[in-house]
Amino acid sequence: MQWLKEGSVLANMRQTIFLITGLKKYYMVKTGLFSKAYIKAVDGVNFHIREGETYCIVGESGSGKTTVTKMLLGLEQPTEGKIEFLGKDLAKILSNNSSAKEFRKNVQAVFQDPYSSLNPRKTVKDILEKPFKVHNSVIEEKTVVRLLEEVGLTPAKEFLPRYVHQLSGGQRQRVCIARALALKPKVVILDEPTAALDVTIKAQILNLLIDLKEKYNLTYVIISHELPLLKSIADKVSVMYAGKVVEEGPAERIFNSPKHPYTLGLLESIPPPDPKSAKSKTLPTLEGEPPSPVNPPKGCRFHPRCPYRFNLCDKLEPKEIEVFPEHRVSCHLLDKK
Amino acid sequence: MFLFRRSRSLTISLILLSSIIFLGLTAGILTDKDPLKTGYSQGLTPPSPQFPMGTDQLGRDVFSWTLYGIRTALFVSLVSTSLTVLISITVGLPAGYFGGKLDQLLMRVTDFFLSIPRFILIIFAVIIFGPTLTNIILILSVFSWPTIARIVRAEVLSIKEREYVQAAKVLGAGNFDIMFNEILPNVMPPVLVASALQMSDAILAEAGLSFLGLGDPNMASWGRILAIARQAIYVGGWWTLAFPSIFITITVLSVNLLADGLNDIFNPKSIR
Amino acid sequence: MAETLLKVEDLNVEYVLREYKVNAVRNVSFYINEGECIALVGESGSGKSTVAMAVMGLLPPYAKISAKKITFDGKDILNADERLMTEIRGKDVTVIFQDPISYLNPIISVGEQIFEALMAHNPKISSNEAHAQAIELLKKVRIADPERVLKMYPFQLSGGMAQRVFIAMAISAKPKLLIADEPTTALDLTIQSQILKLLNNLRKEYNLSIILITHDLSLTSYLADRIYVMYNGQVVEEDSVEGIFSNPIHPYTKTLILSSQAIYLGEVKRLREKMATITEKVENSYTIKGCDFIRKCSNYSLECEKEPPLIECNGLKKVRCWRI
Ligand SMILES: Nc1ncnc2c1ncn2[C@@H]1O[C@H](COP(=O)(O)OP(=O)(O)OP(=O)(O)O)[C@@H](O)[C@H]1O
Ligand SMILES: Nc1ncnc2c1ncn2[C@@H]1O[C@H](COP(=O)(O)OP(=O)(O)O)[C@@H](O)[C@H]1O
Ligand code: SF4
Ligand code: SF4
Ligand SMILES: [Mg+2]
Ligand SMILES: [Mg+2]
Repeated sequence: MQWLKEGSVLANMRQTIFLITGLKKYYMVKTGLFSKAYIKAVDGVNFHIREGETYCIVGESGSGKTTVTKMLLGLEQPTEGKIEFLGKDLAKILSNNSSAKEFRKNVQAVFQDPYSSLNPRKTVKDILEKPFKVHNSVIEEKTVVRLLEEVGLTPAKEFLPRYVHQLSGGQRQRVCIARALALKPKVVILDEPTAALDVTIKAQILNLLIDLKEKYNLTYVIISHELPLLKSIADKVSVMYAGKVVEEGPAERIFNSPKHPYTLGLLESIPPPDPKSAKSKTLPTLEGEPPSPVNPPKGCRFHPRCPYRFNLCDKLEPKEIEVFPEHRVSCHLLDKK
Repeated sequence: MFLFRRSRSLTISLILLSSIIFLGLTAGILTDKDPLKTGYSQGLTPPSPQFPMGTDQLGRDVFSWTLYGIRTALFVSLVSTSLTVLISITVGLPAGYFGGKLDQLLMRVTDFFLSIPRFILIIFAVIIFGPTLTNIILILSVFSWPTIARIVRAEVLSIKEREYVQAAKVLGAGNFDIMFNEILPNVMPPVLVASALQMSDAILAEAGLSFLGLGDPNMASWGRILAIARQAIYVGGWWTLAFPSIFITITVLSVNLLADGLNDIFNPKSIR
Repeated sequence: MAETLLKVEDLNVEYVLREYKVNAVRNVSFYINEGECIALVGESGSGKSTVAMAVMGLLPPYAKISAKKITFDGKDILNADERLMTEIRGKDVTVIFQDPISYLNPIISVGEQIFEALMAHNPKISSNEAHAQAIELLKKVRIADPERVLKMYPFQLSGGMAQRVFIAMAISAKPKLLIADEPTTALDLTIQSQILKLLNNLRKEYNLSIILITHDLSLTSYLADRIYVMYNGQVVEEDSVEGIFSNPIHPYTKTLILSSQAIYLGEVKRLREKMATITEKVENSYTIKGCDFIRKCSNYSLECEKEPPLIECNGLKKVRCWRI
């Protein structure tokens, strides 16, 4: 991966698609008749997503990944912080009808569960015609057929009249991808696009995503808890833990020289598909469970599980440190001072 | 055919209902007598070839009354139920979808309607506004929508969180588009089941009103002949009671079976 | 060599529904020795769970089951009466599932549920004794704060904790066989490896036999001794773990291994060339004749239109493919 060195220069020249600063989302929950608490789903994160990049956000269940997607898509309002899309404030974009339409055209999504992200009472044809209807464009059967072929559902004619329950999981996810591509968006946000699929299908869908990206110069934001999958596709990776980003950097750095103990633990716990490897005999494990989002641990949120913690960790929140160009880590171990 | 195999209730109810509707529609051919006209015979007459179900004290033909009664019962219940469903959707859909203040307001109103005894209100309303067919239909619908509106709202609340609704939003679809094209079709199954039950309710309510003398005097209603039968039964005129009661029972039963049948079809869990 | 604990020969299960029948399991034979772990691997719908349920005698009443032989610990459980089955099920064989929370009673505390499980095997147990044993069990499954967890309700548990509680209940009767049906599919990576480790420790401690059911081949390399690869209701390849990984023969096994390795190594892009011989072909609606994999297999020839038998190769390996 020699491209990386020039890559970072190149990357800086690329247009910024999303610039996210200090983003927070708290959900209020009633804990009693008069008492309430806040679930800190996302607690101050920054992302810088550039054109043509595959930006991946990983983290365990409940770490706030989906909440981030929802805010990027304007489906939830941030409690605090700012999202800029192509230099403009997202809240402003969405408050105006015509700019909102433009945003919708440019930013599309694929959701985690292909079973519930397609309306069970619609045929594949209805579903794929919807984007054009919404944006008042002409619908030709040709276009819809092309879309289906694009995502590998051939012969397309056979799929057009089918209902969702007549498709397999992998086929459903292909329909979702086709729908997201219909309006020729710049950005596709994918929340766990392969989580519900079998291994062989996962590989196929990943392959499809890689092809489409190359063909249309798409920008992907991929959310996932399946770290190994991202290895094949990621340019940038952000690791979230309990509502915060603990490490962020070029994919190659994250996978080959991870610096944060949590990232390390995540990578270690991937079981290798090879009984001969030493790792498959020992299976290194990160002990403990992710913390409660209502009362996250003081100091470094990872400290109850961290094998490297020391006296500072439960008192002081670690600052973000750039350990390499574009590679930032929040851990006291790396704070030289 | 496929549907029938899946639900026995549906098959039975559709057979019963279509026979009843057939009888109602062909009433004009099956009998030449006017149900409301008195004096076909001299007082109470038992069933005979001329009067298959006998006559009442005033010489009215029970057979033609019962057949025309089908028309009244089905007309009133169908129209009022359709209106009920219309109102329920108009209220429940936006309430569930938008939530917030609108939802609270709409739910207060439905709570109010649900907290008072419905039939008594209906009686008062009919007394105040007068017992015409239109009034009865309107009053039945106005006092029946809250139950179904609640069902609609509850369904909308769960469906609007589904990812396909989010996907439609992401595509840029407007609120109306989402409510009517994405959510409504998925809300309909339980609503149809509830409205079949509502229909059998309406048949009974209409019969109840006419029984109390609050029906439209220009319509042959099963309730009214039962009121007449109340006196006839003391002098042995069982036929005035028996035939209309059988028809009410069968109709209400088959509409209830329809609700069961619809439930069988829509609820995949009930099909093993 | 260890004793054979469970032996299943020619198991067939058919779900007979009103509209159609599903031949969920066809001619499946397997065995498991004491203290051994075997894995049933295959895509969703390939019949893995049905096999497990058939062994447990927990199939729904409309499932038609037939087999040449099913013996557990020397006892015939194919023709066993319900009483014997209940006894075996509660005591000697237990299952854990993918979504433990939905199998726990939502309105009863974790403690009560564990007590109930303990009481079922030992009705005379005193409440103090039960409490002590419950704590002991929760410690066994490495729950950090057992006293507190006993008082919790299932909805308060995370997925990983619920799975631990479920495992605690499953081992409360010191079973001989544990069937783990996708035990980690709903869990995060770090929790997954914790649970796999836990299962391995329990296995050593109790000389427990484990049937691991999964669609993810990578899980098997840590835990399993032998693997049965299932496709469309049949076993298409069986061998030791090493044999499956180092010398996969059936085209479906090859796809599975290549896919998981490509994902692990981050080389999904290169997968297509590697799979040139096992491409996924267009799915047509014609009915399958002969080999089940024929629609997806480009290695096929004329003979494949006859159904291939499970052919014995050297060692433990058996493969259901004509062109080996
Ligand atoms: N609408 C909501 N109301 C209250 N709490 C919420 C809501 N949505 C999310 N949360 C909470 O916020 C936290 C982050 O949730 P989020 O869905 O973003 O996690 P995630 O990282 O996507 O997890 P997963 O991998 O399970 O999808 C969780 O604790 C979740 O329970
Ligand atoms: N309770 C059931 N009723 C009807 N069909 C079923 C039932 N359970 C499973 N099946 C069918 O049997 C086949 C095998 O299913 P299953 O054993 O659950 O596979 P797996 O566990 O490998 O995913 C599938 O086609 C599935 O749809
Ligand atoms: S700050 Fe301390 S506890 Fe947190 S990750 Fe670094 S070493 Fe571990
Ligand atoms: S029998 Fe033929 S079709 Fe089946 S897997 Fe072997 S080569 Fe492919
Ligand atoms: Mg999520
Ligand atoms: Mg299963």
